[in-house]
Amino acid sequence: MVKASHKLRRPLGGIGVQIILFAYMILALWPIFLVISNSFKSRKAIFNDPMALPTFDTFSLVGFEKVLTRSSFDLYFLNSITIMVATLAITLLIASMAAWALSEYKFRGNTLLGLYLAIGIMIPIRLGSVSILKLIVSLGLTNTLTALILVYVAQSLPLTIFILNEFMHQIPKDLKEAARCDGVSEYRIFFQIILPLTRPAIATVGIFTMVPVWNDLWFPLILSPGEETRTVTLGVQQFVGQYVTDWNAVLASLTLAIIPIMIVYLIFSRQLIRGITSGAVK
Amino acid sequence: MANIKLHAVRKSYGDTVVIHGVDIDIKDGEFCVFVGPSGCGKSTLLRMIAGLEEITAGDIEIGNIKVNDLPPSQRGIAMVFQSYALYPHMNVFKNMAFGLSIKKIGKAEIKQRVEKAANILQLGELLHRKPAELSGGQRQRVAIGRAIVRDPQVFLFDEPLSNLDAALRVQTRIEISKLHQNLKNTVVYVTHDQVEAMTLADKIIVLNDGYVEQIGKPLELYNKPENLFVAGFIGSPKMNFLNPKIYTNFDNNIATIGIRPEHLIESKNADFIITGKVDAVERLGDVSYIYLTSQDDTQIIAATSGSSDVKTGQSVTYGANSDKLHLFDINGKRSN
Repeated sequence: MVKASHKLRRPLGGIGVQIILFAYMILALWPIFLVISNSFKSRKAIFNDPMALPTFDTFSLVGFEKVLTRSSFDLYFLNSITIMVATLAITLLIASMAAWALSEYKFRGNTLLGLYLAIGIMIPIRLGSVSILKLIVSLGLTNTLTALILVYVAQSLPLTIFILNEFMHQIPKDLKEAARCDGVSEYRIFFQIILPLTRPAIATVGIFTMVPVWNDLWFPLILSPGEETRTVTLGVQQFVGQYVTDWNAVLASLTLAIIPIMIVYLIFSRQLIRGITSGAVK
Repeated sequence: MANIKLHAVRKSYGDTVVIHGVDIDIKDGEFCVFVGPSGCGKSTLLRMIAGLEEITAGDIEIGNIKVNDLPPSQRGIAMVFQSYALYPHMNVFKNMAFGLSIKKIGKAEIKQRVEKAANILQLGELLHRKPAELSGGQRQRVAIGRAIVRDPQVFLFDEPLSNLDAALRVQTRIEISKLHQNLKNTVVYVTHDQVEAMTLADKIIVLNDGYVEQIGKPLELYNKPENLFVAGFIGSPKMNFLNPKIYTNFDNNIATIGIRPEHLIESKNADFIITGKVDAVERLGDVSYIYLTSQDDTQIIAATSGSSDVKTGQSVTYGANSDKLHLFDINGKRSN
């Protein structure tokens, strides 16, 4: 009986699910595969047969050469990484503390504050671009990385707080009370008990936060387009012209841009261990 | 070491009163058990002593110091939770040492204290395991160990055995009892299980609906319950309650007669006689429980020897001596 009902709920069965996931994986990875394989080809080969893998004849590193020598790509990289790391650190710290306060402490306006923060999830931050630009100009922060970091933190906070809040609600009350009986200060409870227990959630929201920040073109374009503060996404644009696009360079820089985010993703995904709270209670 | 005094302690959530002015005096080194049905306020009362729950009115003293406004960590208590509440990302050693490391106690002393507690509780081999790798009984012992290392004045136990299986419960119960004999700290222990209360306690406090029904030694409660609630709650199987109207020789102010199942004997010559028809017989080996319906349609349980050959459907006569009867007036108060 148990087996029968199990089958009913999953009409596709294990293999069907695997096939669908595999098909989706091909669909998702195909553009990335094209970018990477074409980045190692000569310009002619890219246009002659975009689907082909680089062969001995068509292999060329000219794109990487251009990117690394004829533009300040290392600077763009450093900018992007600085922005991403700073945004992540600030967002995760502030959001987890806010989520802890909202979920643990009862104070007047708790629910209202939670709703106010959640509204940010529904309103796209780009709607406020004009006012953000005005604000950044009057703060004198145009063409600085600080401007971007501030905007990205603001953009990421609502969803991060919302998700972490839900997770922190699930931490058994007894754990916090046991710690309070042990004489542990509220800060230590937060940093040494709550944070380690919410690590999988923090890793998840970390990835959610990081990807749009790394890929964003809009805010670097309007807030910090200067040569010194260009990000990778903005830097790539210099190879895209109105009449001629240097595809070798574009594809090479995109290939390079994948690397750091892959590294960060690997770091976070290692934290996504399930059932870390098992054994806490009962 | 410390005594605990509760004076007119009340607790309410909004308009709902859950503890109605409770006065309790627990002596230094005493093993005191709060017992009562679920929802009677016993856990709330314990959490108020621990400082995890605010007191609406009244005073709590631990070691003659008023602790109403002190945080849990400054009350000299250590609490063992029903769910154990072990820190899942720390191993057994760190779980026990965590509270100490915060108090700025030297590493050597922490190690020594944890090892001593681990020895008492036979946790030596498990010190480097995470809670997830322990069985329920082992987790329970770690939770107790975490309380022991802090060397508190008072141990607070919140239904510590309710997540264990029956065999382990009996074993751990005995371990807790031995522990108390060795350490001699004051203990406040909450349970809904009257067997745990009877076996462990120096003093039992029976709670019902936020009121203290009776305070006394286990056998006092068993032999002389002050009211119907305590009479029905303490003892297993439950005490039989009979209407005195159909029996002669009772005062008019007696509203209920109570007889414990084990005091009913198969005899026609006792002071008090019940006749009835057997509905069911439970044979446990050492004892047989006879379920019968008496002449006035009351359900009665009698505990007889395991060798009794009473059968279902049979008419039987049971009797009890008058010194074994518990008499209660119309308000449920004891009157003999």
